[in-house]
Order: sequence, then structure tokens, then C-alpha cells
Amino acid sequence: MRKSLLFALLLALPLGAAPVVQSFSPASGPTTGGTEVTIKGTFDPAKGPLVIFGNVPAASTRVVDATTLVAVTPEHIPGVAMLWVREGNLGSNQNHRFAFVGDIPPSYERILIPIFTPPVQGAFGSEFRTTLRLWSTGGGEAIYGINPGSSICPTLCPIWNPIDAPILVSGDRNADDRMPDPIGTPGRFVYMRRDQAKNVVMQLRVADITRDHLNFGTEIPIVRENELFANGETIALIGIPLDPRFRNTLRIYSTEILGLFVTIGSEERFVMLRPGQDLFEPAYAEIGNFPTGTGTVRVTINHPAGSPNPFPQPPHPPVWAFVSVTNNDTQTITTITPQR
Amino acid sequence: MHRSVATLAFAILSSTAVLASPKITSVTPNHGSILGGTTVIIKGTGFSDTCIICSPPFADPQVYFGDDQAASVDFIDDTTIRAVTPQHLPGTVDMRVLQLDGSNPNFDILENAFTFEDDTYDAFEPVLFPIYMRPVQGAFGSEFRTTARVYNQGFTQLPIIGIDRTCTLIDPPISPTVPIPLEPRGLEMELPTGCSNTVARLFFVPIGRDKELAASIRVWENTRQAQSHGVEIPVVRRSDLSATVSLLGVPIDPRFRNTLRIYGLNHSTEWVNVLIDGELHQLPLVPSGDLFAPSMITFTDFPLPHELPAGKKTVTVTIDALQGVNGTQSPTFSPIWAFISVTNNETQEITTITPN
Repeated sequence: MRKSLLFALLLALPLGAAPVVQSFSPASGPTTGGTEVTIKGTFDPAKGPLVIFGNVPAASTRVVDATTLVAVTPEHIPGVAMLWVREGNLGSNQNHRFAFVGDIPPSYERILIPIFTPPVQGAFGSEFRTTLRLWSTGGGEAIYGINPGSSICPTLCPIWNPIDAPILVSGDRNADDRMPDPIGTPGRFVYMRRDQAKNVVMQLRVADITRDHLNFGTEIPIVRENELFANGETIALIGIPLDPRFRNTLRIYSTEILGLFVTIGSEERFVMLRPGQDLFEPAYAEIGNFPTGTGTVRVTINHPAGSPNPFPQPPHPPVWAFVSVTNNDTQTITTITPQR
Repeated sequence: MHRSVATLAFAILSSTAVLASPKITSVTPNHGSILGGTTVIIKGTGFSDTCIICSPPFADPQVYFGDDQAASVDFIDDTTIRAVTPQHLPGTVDMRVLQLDGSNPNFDILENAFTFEDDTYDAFEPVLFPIYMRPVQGAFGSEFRTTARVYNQGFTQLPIIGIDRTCTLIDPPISPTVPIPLEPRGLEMELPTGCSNTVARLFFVPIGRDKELAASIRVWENTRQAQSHGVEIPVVRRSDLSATVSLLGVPIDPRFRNTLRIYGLNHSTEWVNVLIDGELHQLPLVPSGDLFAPSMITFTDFPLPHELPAGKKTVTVTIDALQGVNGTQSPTFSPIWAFISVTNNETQEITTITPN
């Protein structure tokens, strides 16, 4: 009798059963975290259930009983993240979403990748390719906004959600650097936790692959948050050639749509940046009609209230800009970036 | 009549009697901070606040500490002047008092009169130009030239120290210790790289003001008709230095030659570890002894393509300032900066791999 009962009980409790989330409340909270979320479902308290938002564990998870968990949300970048529960090596169903609302929280850093485009056909049969290398002195750091790459996730994978699926950087000194597929327009904002960002090394190059026997491509700087020009600071790019052998392209990036005064030599223009579609796409403007002649010219970029002014100025969105100088004949590219 | 002329002549001669030249006998105190602001008492004879070219005809004497003018001067009497020191790089300087009272000579110099003390970086912000060379003959008949420009994007005059013009025709030569004022939002200044005797150069601006200085360094190869506008070399601020530098995607390819350059602001020899694809090199970073040149070491001993695993074409280079010799932990270390220049052996086109 006892053996039968025990056998029945064993049948009723499948070994290795994954947790199941049935409902949760509330459905949203601020990006600064701290929201108590009550999760209903089926859990195994003995396995120490852990609530995870996308890729980020809850700040805390409290087991009320086998059907109820209470989690406190962590800081998280804005957007809709998958809410799921992990018990050991098993994860729950992945069809629940929690919305983080608000600004980028202070614990995350915004990083600009200025050129991050798929291959581009250029003049004279050229093809420009962007290569981004990632490496870590630690390992496992998460970068939000970079597609893991079609080689990692072929067409059968679910549609990629950048909020849920950060790329994890390798810390293996013997491994090839991670080189994800570029998806910028042309730039891309990516986000990392600040305590992880300092361990990650990046390198960005653009090269004309039809001429790769001639050069190793051009390095484009990765722009960390403290390198963005904020609070109305002027960007000065000096020594831009007027030589008609070269074509210059000024690229301007910001976090928000705004208008700027761009002075090229003695000519001042008002330039409006086109808005980005989401937090990963920078507001952007491009200027290509530079004067030609001899010598060099300076470009300065100012917020409309960038001149000395005794009155308090409103906060200005951060801005960055650079000029690419391309030889019309050889398609060799060089850059002029802010050096301050 | 003759007596009247003689009387007049005597009166004129009396009124143009030879004035005593200034003579410095002491400066107290004779040392102070590089931050300036030290009040010194200059004792001597023949001091005067008469100025024969001024209206009204008075002006305090001019006092110089080395080539830098005092922050303020007060004439007390013909034996005493009070002056306040300016900001100045560390070292012992002569003091000069100059006055416009018509005396001849109208100045005096007291050698080794005042010593500016403390660490340079307490009052001045270093700005590193990693490449700042006169034209250099390279491999395969190439000639590499460096152009360096600076621009004051601030709203007030910005003094920059370290511009060496001693090879130019300026007479007398202007010492690099003399601050050169950059006018706010004025013209760019092209720096005289032709006077350089080192690979790199340190310039200094007052502490807290380095962001007002926009700069540009370009290196290009001169003999191939400038196929590109040269390569941009980053200008390095003190905040860009770190304990570890990692450089990714360094090509190991017979078409290219790589040069790793490591820089520091250390005052004594320190060791750095350079790790290339698992192979460790320990290199000494030796101070240059020149206030305007960083400590620096150049490394070119990269692996050959056949020494890498099959299919591997690039390496990661990590430079670590934390370790001492034989891997021991250095109790203190100075942060470093480093980059690699990659030069095509055929075209001499240069590109860079810098810390990001």
C-alpha cells in the first residue's frame, strides 16, 4: 500500500519540472528599479527560484510559497523585457513581458558606435565594411543593442529583442574577438552596466575590402559617455582639408532631435538632426558639401546658446561629431575627430 | 649773456644726472609653490617707479621669474619691491627687475634667485602628443611628416607651455617654459614640430583647463603624393591613461609592420608587462629626464605569421602597468597609454590601433 502511494506521488511530481509563470503584477515600473512584482505560477522553493528580467536578475526574489514569488526589479534600460524564472538549469516559459519606463538609469552607460553599417557600395567599385571587435578583461559582460549575429542565431531563431538579448563579451585571451553583424544607421547606441563597461575593450574599423591589400582600414573611435559633448560644449574639428582630391563628410550624433549651429570656415549653417527611432538609434545629421580650395578649414559645432552667457542654460543633449576624409581616387579614408 | 647760458647749461646737466640702475641684493623667501601666489620681498638699491614713457610718469617696475612675469608688483621704496609669483613649472630660475626710469642699464638679474617647488602635475595639466617629430626618413625611401595644431575653444585666453621654437629664427629664442597665450576662439596655431628632438611631446596648460584646448596631430608619408590626408594620432589627456591598455585586432601579416609605443608620466623607471598572444615581454619604462618628453618605449617584436595557430591572423596586445619585474605586484604604478601604428610596407600608408 505504502509503496503504491509513494509510486503515485512520484508520478504526480515529475522530476526536473521547469517553473511556470502564470501571471504577474504590476506590468511596469521605473528604469531605476525598486518595484515589487508579485509573480504567480508553479515553483519549487527547494531549488531557490530566481526572477530574471531579460538578462538581469531581480534585485531580490522572495519565495512566499510554491505558487507565489515577490521580486524587486533591478535598474534596467527602458523597454519591454521578458520576465521569467530560473530554477537551477531550468527556465520558465518566456511569454511574459515587464515594461521598464523612464530614462537610462545611472548604473548604465551609453556608448556610441559611430559607424556600424552593413557593407556599403562606394564610388569606383569600392565596398566599405565595418568590423567591430569586442573583448573583455573579465568575461561575460552584457552589451545591449548589438545583434548576436546571423551566424549565432539563424533564421529559425525568434525575432531578436535587443532589450532581452544582450551580447556577452568573451574574456578568453585565446579566442578570436567577437565580431557581430553591423546594424547601425549609420551609428548605434549600445548600453552596458558601468561596472562592466570598464572591463570591455572595443575596436571599430572601416575598410574598403576591394583594396585591402593596400591598407588595414581606418580606425573609428568608440565614444564613451564621458567623451560626448554635453552642456552646450563646443566641438572643434581642426585641419580639415579643402583639397579637391578629398571629399569630406561631417557626421553629427545626439541622443535627441535638436538643431545645432555648424560653422565651416566662415560659413555658419543651422542643422537639424533627424530623430532616432529608438534608444539604440542616434539622432543624426550628415553634411557633405564642404568648400574646396587650398589649405584647411575648421568646423565648430555649437548649441544655439553656446556662446558665453551669464544666464543659466537649459541642459543640452550630448553631441558628438567627426569628419571622414576620403580620397576620391584611392578611396582611402582618414578621420578628424574631437581631440580634447 | 654768457653767464645765463652757463647757468642754463648747468641746470640742464643737473636735471639729467645719471640715474642709479636697479640692483637686486636678495629675494625673500627664495622658494615657493608652482601654483604661484607666493609674496616675495625683493631688496636692493636703485629701484624706481618713475616711468619716462608713461603718462602719468609712474609705473611699478617689471619683475620676472625666469621668463614669466610676476602676478603682481608693488613698489615700496628705492630699496624694496614686493611681488607675487606666477604659476611656473618646477625648477630654480633667475629673477629680473626692469624699470623704465631712464637708467642705463635699466635692469638687473639675480641668478638662481627663486625655486618653484612641488610636482608639476599639481598645477599643470599634461597633454600628450604621442607623435611629435621632425620629418623622419622611413623604410623604402619614405619620409614621414607630422603636423600638429592647437586651438582654444574656450572663452578666455589659454596659456600653453612647452612650445619649443628654439630652431626657428626668433631672436632671442623663446624657451619652451614660456607660456604662449592662445586667444579664445581665434586662429589655430600650427606647432613647430621641426624643432622636436623626441618622438613625443608633453605640453602643459593650467590644471582644470585642458578641455579648452582642441588639438590635432596628423602623420603622413610625404613621398607618395599624399594619397590620404594622413592618419590622425590621438591627443592624450591625463584621464586617458590607465593601468591596463588592450589593443585588439593587431594584424600579423607580412604586408604590414607594427610598432607598439607605450607612454607614461612616471618620474622613475617602472616596468610594464606586454602580453601578445600568450607571450609575455617585460619592458622598462624609463623617464626621459626632459620635462616636455614622456617616458616612452617602442616595441616591434611581434610574432610572425607562421608562429600563430592556423587560421589566426590577428592578435590582442595587452599592456599592463600593474606588474613589477618577474610578475611581482608593483606597490605603486603610474598609468600608461599605448597605441600601435600599422604601416603597409608597400604603400607606407599608416593606420592606428588605439585604446577604446
